[in-house]
Amino acid sequence: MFSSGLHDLVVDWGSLYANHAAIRTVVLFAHIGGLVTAAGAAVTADRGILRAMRLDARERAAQLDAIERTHRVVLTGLVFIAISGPLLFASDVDAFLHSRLFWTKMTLVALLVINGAVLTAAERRAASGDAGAWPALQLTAIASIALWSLITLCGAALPNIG
Amino acid sequence: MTPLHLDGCDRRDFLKCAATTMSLAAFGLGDLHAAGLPVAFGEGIAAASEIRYPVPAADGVTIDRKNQVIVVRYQQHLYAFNLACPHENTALKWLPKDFRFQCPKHQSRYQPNGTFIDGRATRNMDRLGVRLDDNMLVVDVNKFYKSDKDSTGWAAATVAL
Repeated sequence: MFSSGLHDLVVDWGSLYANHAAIRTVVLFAHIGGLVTAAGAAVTADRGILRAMRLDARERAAQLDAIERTHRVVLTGLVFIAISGPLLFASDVDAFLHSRLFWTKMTLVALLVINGAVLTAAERRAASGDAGAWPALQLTAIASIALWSLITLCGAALPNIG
Repeated sequence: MTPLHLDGCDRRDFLKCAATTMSLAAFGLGDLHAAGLPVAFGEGIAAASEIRYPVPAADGVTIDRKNQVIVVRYQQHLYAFNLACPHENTALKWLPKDFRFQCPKHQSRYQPNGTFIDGRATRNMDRLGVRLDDNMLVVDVNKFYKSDKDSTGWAAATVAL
């Protein structure tokens, strides 16, 4: 009964999405807007970390404060992505299920989340005065920039390559 | 969701088909059909430029992603279409509730027989050559009919049942 209900929901949503330009626009705006917000803030913070590598301890601490304040912005963007993503997936389940590019993108998103957890853990260690945390911060900041870029590339390629 | 034929599939293909089928079943998305034509996902047997499909027992839509072919049985006729939208080559999707094909990129819409309804496309869905052979539908992917270039060929690219 549950699977039948879910199936009906997917069919109904697919039809609703296909028939209403306003709904498509809102969902896509939430997804792209979330990406711009989260990726923009994250890449800015990542660049801040890389720049802080060349600074002294006092300036690094100030930089860490600034970076910490960006987490809320990144998380807000991710919430919009997490809500709109499944809606986009449900609008064309068959196409996405069979798309290698889609699963590549999902793998990259999973890696990004893991990388984000490692980055914030290293950031906490660095804030508590552990200088040894900075190489990990540098590595995760580079990984973060690369992952956000690749995810954006996959998202752009998805409608064209499938 | 079951592939039309597993003959000729290697082990990897079979496992891929099985995994997809089980995933869809787990999520309750197998056998996607509602009111209107049921949709199935399958794979024909390809040999040279021809792909063979069992003749569908009832009206319905079969999507063969591997060979980029859509097979439709509709109002006692069989059709085979290129999966790509003639506008910008995005894979078309079937909307069972709305009883039509639609391009997810620019929303061009088509009737089950491939006739263009509205949208950015400028012609009907591209048809492929079809014939019946021993109760199998044979699709010739080298015979490609575009309605704006060869309207007679396009109209004739069907098998009446």
